[in-house]
Amino acid sequence: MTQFTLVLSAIARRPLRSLLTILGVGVALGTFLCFQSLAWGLEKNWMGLYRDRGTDLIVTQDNTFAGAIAQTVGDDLRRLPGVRSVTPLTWGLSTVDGQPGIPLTGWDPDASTLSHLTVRGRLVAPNAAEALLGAYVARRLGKDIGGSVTIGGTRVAVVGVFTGANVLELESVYVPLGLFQRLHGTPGIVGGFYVNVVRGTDDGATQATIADVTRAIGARFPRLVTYRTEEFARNNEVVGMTRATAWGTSVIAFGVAVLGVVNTMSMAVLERTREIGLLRAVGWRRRRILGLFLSESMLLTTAGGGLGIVLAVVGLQVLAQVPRMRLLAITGSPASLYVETIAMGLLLGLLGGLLPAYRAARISPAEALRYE
Amino acid sequence: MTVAGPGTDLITVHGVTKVYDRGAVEALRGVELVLYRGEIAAIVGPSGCGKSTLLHLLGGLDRPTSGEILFDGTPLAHGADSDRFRATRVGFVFQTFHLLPTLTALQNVQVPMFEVERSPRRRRAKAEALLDVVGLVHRGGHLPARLSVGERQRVAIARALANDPMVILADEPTGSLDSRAAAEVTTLLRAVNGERGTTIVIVTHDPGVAAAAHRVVHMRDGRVVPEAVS
Repeated sequence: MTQFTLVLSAIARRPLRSLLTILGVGVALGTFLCFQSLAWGLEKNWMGLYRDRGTDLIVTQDNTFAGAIAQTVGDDLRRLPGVRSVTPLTWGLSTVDGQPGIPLTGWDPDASTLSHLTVRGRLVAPNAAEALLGAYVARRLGKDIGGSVTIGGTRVAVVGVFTGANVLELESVYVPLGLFQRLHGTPGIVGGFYVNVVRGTDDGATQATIADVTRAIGARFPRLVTYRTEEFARNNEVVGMTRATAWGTSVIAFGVAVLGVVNTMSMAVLERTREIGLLRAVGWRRRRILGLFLSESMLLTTAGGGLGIVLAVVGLQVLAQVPRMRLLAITGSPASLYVETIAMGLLLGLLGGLLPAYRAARISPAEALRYE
Repeated sequence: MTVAGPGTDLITVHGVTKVYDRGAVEALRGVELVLYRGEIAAIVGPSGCGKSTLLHLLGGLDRPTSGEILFDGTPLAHGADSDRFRATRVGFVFQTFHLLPTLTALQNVQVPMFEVERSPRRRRAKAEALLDVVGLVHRGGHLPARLSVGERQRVAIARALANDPMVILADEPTGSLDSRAAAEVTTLLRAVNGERGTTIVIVTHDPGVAAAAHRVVHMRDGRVVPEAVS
């Protein structure tokens, strides 16, 4: 027998209470893992989006494409040394065929930023009332080439459906930049620019050019912000909000779980007061008593962490099947988040069990043995 | 039977008092007592005279309000040293056994050994040997709920012997037992004393247990009544 035997037997002694504690912790940590996975997936897909488009820099007013920049700024950007191409575009969530929240991108058809797509049909013509649909949104709207969709009260012909992109793009609709501007009453205004630099002889040289161009843009247009694509993906508003929501929800869930563990362990200490007295009577030191109850607490919460991982994996799989949830770009969880979840479980056990374990260790053996 | 205690002093109690509730309760009032090595001493007296309180002080479970207790010539340890003292010098037997309900008899006997023996294999081997001493090695795999009250107290005695203590402090060890089980336990305690030389101090209301002791110490109103030797 080891001290772990005592820990296990104590947990097994109150099976229902132990299971409820594990379940509560599991829900809390599962929530943490779910939301953190969503934020991670979204960031990963945003990054993939810009990487697939081969974009080096993104120039906007803030960290979204919802700003208002004169389209002519693009001409000035093209004249900067080291700049190879500049693509103006703008983006927003629109109602398409009565379905709200569909990403709509106004895009310059002359640009090559969509060359990574596999298009069935053709690309849209400049300024035409035409749309290019991602495969997921096309399926959701029940549309195909030859059909039409209504955007902002305007009928727009579907001329192409694309695949071969990440989930964020596959849920998107592309229209010519001019049409987007007409639909939103913003002629000559864009949300931002993709900027590609001249390639150097090696990666180091290209990175140096990127840095130079960034500085040049900052000097020429101090009111604009220039991001590398990874930075933009990491810091964009949608990802930022998702991450903030993830942390906020996780903190609340974690706090509630800690209180639950404190309650469970306090009950355990109270019920086992005479047992604690016996252990002290046979010579157990205070720190062994402390270790006993802390071990119990941390074992419960680690089990809860394991359950949380299972709940999150199942939950994310279920969410990924819901068409409206596709925009969340659910792509599972990285291994590091599983490790974080278990670590959070251990921390939760430590925080929740510390006070009750301390009180158990401070119990006077004589009083404990007399406890009724 | 009462016999003047043989052997050298093991535990000496000088002027020990114990008060509770800020002096509202005086459990012990200047106790003077010597307990000898190798004896069986029974402490008897009416309920509330301070017998159990004295036993707790002798075992270092509590501290006297004033006075001194010497164990083997050394003042009784307190704090962390008190834990070590209880682990290595003292074994306790309680009226209600205080066996851990979710551990088997064999596991219960091992509980005191954690502070003294690191090897789980050696702990188990010693526990089996102790259960053999009390005649319960065949019941080692049973939970306390599956043991009779007499068997539970015998397991408790085996547990008290776990770290080869110099003294066993037994608080009403037969208080919850029927007469047959009480007699078995009393015989066992005498055997432990006879074979191992372990000093045994028993708080009891049971005349049969008192009669088995080498010496009877009478207490009344928180004091030891001077010994009657016959």
